[in-house]
Amino acid sequence: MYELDMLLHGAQALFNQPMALLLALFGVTLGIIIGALPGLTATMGVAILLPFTFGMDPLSGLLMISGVFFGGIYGGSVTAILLKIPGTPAAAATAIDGFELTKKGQAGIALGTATFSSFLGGTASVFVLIFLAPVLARFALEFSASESFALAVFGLSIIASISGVSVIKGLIAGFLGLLLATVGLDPMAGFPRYTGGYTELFNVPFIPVMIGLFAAAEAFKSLEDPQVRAGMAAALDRIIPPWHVFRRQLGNIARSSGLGIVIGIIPGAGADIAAFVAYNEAKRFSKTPENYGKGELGAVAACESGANGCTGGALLTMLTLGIPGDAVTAVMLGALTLQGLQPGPLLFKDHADLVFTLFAGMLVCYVMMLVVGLGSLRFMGRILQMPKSVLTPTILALCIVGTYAINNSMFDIWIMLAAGVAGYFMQKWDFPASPVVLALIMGPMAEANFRRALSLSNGSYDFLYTRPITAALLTVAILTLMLPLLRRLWSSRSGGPTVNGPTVASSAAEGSK
Amino acid sequence: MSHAPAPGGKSGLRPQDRLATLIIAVLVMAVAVAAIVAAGDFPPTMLETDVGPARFPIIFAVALLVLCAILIVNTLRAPAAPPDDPAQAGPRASYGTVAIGIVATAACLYAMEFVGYAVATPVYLFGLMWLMGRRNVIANAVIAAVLTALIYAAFAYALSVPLPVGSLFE
Amino acid sequence: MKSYRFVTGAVVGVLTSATMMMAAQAAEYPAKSIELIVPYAAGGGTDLVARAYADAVNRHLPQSVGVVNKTGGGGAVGLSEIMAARPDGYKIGMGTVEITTLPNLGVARFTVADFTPIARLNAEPSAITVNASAPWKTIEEFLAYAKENPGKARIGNSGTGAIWHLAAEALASKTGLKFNHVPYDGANPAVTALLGNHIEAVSVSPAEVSSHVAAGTLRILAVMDDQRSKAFPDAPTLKEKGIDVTVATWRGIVVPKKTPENVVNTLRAASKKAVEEQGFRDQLNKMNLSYAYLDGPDYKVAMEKDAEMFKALMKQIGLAK
Repeated sequence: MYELDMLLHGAQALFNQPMALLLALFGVTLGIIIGALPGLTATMGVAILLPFTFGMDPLSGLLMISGVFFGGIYGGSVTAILLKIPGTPAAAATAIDGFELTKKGQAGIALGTATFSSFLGGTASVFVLIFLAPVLARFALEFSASESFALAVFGLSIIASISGVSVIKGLIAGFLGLLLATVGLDPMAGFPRYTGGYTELFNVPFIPVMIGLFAAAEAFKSLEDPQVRAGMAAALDRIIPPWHVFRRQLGNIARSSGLGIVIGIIPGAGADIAAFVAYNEAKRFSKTPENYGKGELGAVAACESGANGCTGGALLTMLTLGIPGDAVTAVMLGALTLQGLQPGPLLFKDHADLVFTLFAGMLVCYVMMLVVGLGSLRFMGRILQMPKSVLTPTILALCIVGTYAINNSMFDIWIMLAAGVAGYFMQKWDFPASPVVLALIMGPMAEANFRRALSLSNGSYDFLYTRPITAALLTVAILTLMLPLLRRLWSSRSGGPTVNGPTVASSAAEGSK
Repeated sequence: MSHAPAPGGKSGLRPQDRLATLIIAVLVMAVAVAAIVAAGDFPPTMLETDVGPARFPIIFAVALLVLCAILIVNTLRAPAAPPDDPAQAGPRASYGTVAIGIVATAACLYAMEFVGYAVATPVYLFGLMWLMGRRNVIANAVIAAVLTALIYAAFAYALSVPLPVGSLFE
Repeated sequence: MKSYRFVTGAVVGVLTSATMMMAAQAAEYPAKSIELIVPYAAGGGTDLVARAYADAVNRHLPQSVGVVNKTGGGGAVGLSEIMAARPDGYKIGMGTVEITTLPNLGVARFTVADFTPIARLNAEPSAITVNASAPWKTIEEFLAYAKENPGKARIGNSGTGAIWHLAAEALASKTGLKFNHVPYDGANPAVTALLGNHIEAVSVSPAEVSSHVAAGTLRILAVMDDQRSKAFPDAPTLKEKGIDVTVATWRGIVVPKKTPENVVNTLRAASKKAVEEQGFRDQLNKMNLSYAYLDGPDYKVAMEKDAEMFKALMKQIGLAK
């Protein structure tokens, strides 16, 4: 097999370049830190490192950047699970169940599962990138505006399943997010909507709102009972999940990684969408869907393998077609061009040696991520032992600085604070925050692509049912939205909600103590 | 503003939760109505095949109005909860602290525009630690200074993100 | 209260250093590091030019130049900040073609007159590019198709009111044709749509399609420049074909208008030395960006010419507010 041969050659070449490996390790570590900090995303990490790659050889520079990319996607989960601070938008999905697990005293096992799932999802996606790139690349081109619109609608239908206690409150939060997402320049005509004359509002300040709703709101809540210690001091006694628990997640991880890879390939869709979709599908296929939202290990595994599955998918279209699938790969495209490598169909022909050495390096990056991740978890877990009266002020200061860092803008911090106050009241009365985040991701995608599709079809609405991928996605979306409602209606007819048993994960963890 | 957190189950609504939910629903409806009114001023599209900038916000706002109406009806119809069980109530949360914390954050942001990160942050951290019951002044001051310096070093040097200097020092 | 002492100490410390900084400012320029504001995200074309420039100019100034990205509003946020900066030369910026287009859209408070140009660094013309499988081999064939099917030829651009949209509109108004302009969220998604045959053409720069043209999947029909592109000498200019349309995006260094003469001259001299370095040109070449240096005064003329052209065009097509 040509690819396998080349990969082995690549691995050989790679291990003759210790400097490149060292830089990859540096990249992965920096990526994890950047991902864990609120406001700093993998995109930003890659952009920060870009100028440093000017003077490096292509392999070292690209591996370092890949390392930041991978580490950045994974790093967001650590603070999401421990503190309910999603370092990246994708980790907002991880935070839903991850933080519930921490509250139950199972932070260690949640972090361990997140790390292994990220590793498996990411590695699987790199293998797909190596062996199936030419076959799958064509799929990306099938995706036009109407398909992207349908994908966004499918994403929005997930609101019903992440709503928590009350579907109606979840939907209100979701539609409020959708309305919020229309603030800024209208995607087709460029007209400023609801900006009140502030140029800063021309783009929806998505990440400041997310940091406010999750991290700042949680910090304000912890001001209620300042005397209480974090109370999870002994929580990290086990990080590597027991095999009999993890084994049950393997099917889930495989499905989520697959979803992540496909979504990564789709232009304009990235890790955030993949994490939410993976969450939704894991819940759909779970035997205990009622535990989702209350601390289900499967949810963490799904989100993380989905988000990291995206990396290979996004790289696939970027390398084979020269089309960046998301913001990170757009910057990476710049990095490749800088190195005199023109991504596109010719890259594999003209630079096969380098490409396969790079692939081998990417696999090594994921192994490094696993090792660095597991190694740092104990240290990160110490965060929980900090007294709350130091931790809360630190979190708030990080929220402020992290928000500022996105655009170097004070305006964004005020938005973050407003979102934090709103988020505090929302969680008090069971209005969930994650539908808002989901709506902010999907809303602009849905509107822009719907209107673009309409323009592409010269004003005809035919595209809604004549294009197979569009029609299929829209059908799935309607089913996703209707099923929980129907089920709820059914169960309320037949006598109240079922009594919740203990989660599989919690009973297993108790057994292992 | 002294509402205890809503109980997770659907056993019933306490009067203060019912009121709070209704207030939130009405506020959201007000936002939706305002959005619809403002959308009336949006110009028509210049592209022939486009639905225009107002269409989507209006759809979302109308959906919000419907959902809030349902929520209001549901909330009004929900059975009342039995009066608070004193044994269950536990220690009362201190909402005053939350309010002060939020005001302190706003004050810190306001100050940061003038005196910059390096001055506003340590004072803010110190104040919050005091607010949360740490009375060891020296330790707090040291922690505040060290945290400020650490965050500064991480962002300004390691990540090359310059932090606000403040308009007074620019 | 020891904390008060601590706070007082901190305040005094910061104040002293600030006073020292102000004292230093009065002396020779530049006395401290210079901030280069980039109104677009890191990793994009404008950012890459800015970073290459900062790299080169650092060798010709006693103080370092650091790049700061201020994104948002299609460039309006960053450009407004450059305009409103203290005119002391410590906050300079990347001035792009949007200086001349955004004011007409009614989303910016600045005009061309609010900036003093230092040096133009780079310029990229618009080009009409189609899929290699498309039936049109020449620009005439494509325009003939558009004439027979008014409103059917879909040209992808990088956003309504953005430069590549205006380029396609300029072509439409000069030829009297009617296109269906489809805005995308940047040039890359538009190119992706063209690769998937979802649209008929794009009006983005040759650099943005170069890898696909090299791979034989896309075909450049014409460029909207005065001369043919060095990278694609086979593609004719519209001027050669008798259609007098030249539209280009450009990037260069600008400062707020009230910046003192000596500061402007220092920056102009340093920029001239920087762009004359082979390293800077190589860097641009590597990134498929064309070197298009103009000194301050010439840059100013070019800016004003574009401002007039876009004002008239945008009024004509109903974009101007």
